[in-house]
Amino acid sequence: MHALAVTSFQSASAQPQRGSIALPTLLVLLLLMGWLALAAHRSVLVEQRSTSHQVRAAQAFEAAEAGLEWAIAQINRPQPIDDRCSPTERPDDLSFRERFIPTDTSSGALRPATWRDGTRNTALAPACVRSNDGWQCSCPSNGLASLETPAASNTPTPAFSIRFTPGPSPATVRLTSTGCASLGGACQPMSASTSDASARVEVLLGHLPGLAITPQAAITILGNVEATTVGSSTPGIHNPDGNSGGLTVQSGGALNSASVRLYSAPGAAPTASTATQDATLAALDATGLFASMFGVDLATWVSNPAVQTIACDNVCGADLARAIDRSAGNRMLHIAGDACIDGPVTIGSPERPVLIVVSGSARIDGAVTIHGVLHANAVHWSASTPGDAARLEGALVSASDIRLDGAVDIHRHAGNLSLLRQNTGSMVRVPGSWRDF
Amino acid sequence: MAQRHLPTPAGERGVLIVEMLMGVAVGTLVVAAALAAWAIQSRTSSALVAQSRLTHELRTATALVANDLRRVGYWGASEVSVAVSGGSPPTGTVSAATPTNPYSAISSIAAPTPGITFGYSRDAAENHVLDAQERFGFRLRDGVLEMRLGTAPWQAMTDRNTLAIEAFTLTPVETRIDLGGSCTRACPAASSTCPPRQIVRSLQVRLAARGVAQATTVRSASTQVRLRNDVVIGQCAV
Repeated sequence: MHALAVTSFQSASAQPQRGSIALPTLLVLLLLMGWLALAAHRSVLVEQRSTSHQVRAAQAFEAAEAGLEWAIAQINRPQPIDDRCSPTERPDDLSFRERFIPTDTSSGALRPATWRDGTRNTALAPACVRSNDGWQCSCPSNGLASLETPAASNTPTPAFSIRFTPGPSPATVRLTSTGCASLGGACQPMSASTSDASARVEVLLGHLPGLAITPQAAITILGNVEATTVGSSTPGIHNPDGNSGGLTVQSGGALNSASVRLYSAPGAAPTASTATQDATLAALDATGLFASMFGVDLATWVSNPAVQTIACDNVCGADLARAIDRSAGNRMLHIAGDACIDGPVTIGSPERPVLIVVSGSARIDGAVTIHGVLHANAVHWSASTPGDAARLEGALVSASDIRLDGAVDIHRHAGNLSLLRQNTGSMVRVPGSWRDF
Repeated sequence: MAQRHLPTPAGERGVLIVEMLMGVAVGTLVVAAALAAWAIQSRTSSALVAQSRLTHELRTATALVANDLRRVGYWGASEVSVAVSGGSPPTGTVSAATPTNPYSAISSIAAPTPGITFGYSRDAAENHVLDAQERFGFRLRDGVLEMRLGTAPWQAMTDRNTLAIEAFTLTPVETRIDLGGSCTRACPAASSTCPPRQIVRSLQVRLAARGVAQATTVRSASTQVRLRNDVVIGQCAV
């Protein structure tokens, strides 16, 4: 078989060959077609390249815009966060706002946090990168943001880096967001990796405090104050702060008590520290009082992202404590309907006072200590059991009447009020401040 | 007969004239067919290139318009409008009581050169005045999209040898947000300035162009631009 095949091959090659002209012609033809295909392909390549440039530029720009929105949302979230920017259950942790734009308590100015990079102070810069599992973020408390480069995938992996700089006035801060088509370059300082496209946008954020004005008196009320002695305990109203005028009660109605203890600024007569039947207050209704105190109406105030609304069906102590644990320094609580707080319980602390708005009436019983401002339509506060001592360090505001029974002491605490003005509320974009140049 | 049986010397072979003629004829046919195919191919490819260039130019022009429109109303001292800022009082033409953004206005240009003019601050030290070098604009004139850059004359943004812009339309989209919730007093009835309102502005931009090399090629591009700097108008009752 083998020998036969060889023989027939030899005989075929020995045949004279025909059509030799067709070979070069076909070769020329092939060359031509190949060149054509290449030419067509080249324009496709150029087109593809310019399109992908455009895609990456758009990705970087949109990432930068996303960074702005992310940062504003994080600032206005009251919960404490960890190094991955996720909310924690540890009440002692700092919130995003406390971590990156803490307020200088003496001047009230927002001071973007820095870290010591060798010899110079560098702004702390949180950053995020998009991976297959969504956005991964890093909120460093000291040092650079640490992010892992996402595994290669077909989906885009844009990144952004956030920077805060002091604003032109104390209650403002400038927010700059740098977006990149991939993690690297301007979005990851001091890293070797580069990014094909980057974009930078900035806005100015203004502080909208949860408490628009500082109440001047320990008790501000549209109606009457009734104070009753129970046993040997008499309610007390204190305002030792001369700067506020030393007012204890400012009311549209009367102070109905012969035995209430009033403490005013040193040197001032306690009896002169009340401003009852105040014409300005008497002219206001509940809505007007709320708006003058908080700067907005109740519905707008409640829609503030930092406000936690509690529906506690009359027994509020435990729910209040839980809500307070969920918020760091920005403690704005809203109780829908009536509230009943039973002691012994301490709400808020001198470092982190609370702002409690009860849309119904509040009934407080027993040894309850509140650091902050309580606003309710009507307040009935009693500490009638011997040994109970109830205290409010801040200010009490009510739209109708207030009744105090027994050992209840209402102190106007200037420090708590100023902390509330500085730390509560939200940061909002200032219209006209966006720019990308 | 005898010649046909003569042995051919090794390595020498001739080509018959018929064979050669056939080869040339077939070759010419094939080359002609290939040339025709190449001509068609190159026509198609140049048409494609022209089309993609048109699309590309349009896209670039739209992106340019969108990028610049986004900046409308940037104000170097926007913090003076923040009530709680506690900063130094504004100077210039901005009144401290009702600070309004001097850069926020946009105005359209009517046909035959449809377009838009707007402004944003370029001051190193904000002067609260819309200066000549801070005025920008886009318009369509004689098939060319032109841009205004401050005091310089309008400049062409598209190449009239490549494409002729046939339509440039800008449709404003506005959403007004009522800020009455931040007023302590109710507004008087039938007040046009109370409560304050925040105007969120967008512009629907559409460009349509015809290729110059191929007059049958018409492409259009459109985009919606959210003007990032909102306008606040009106104030609370005092």
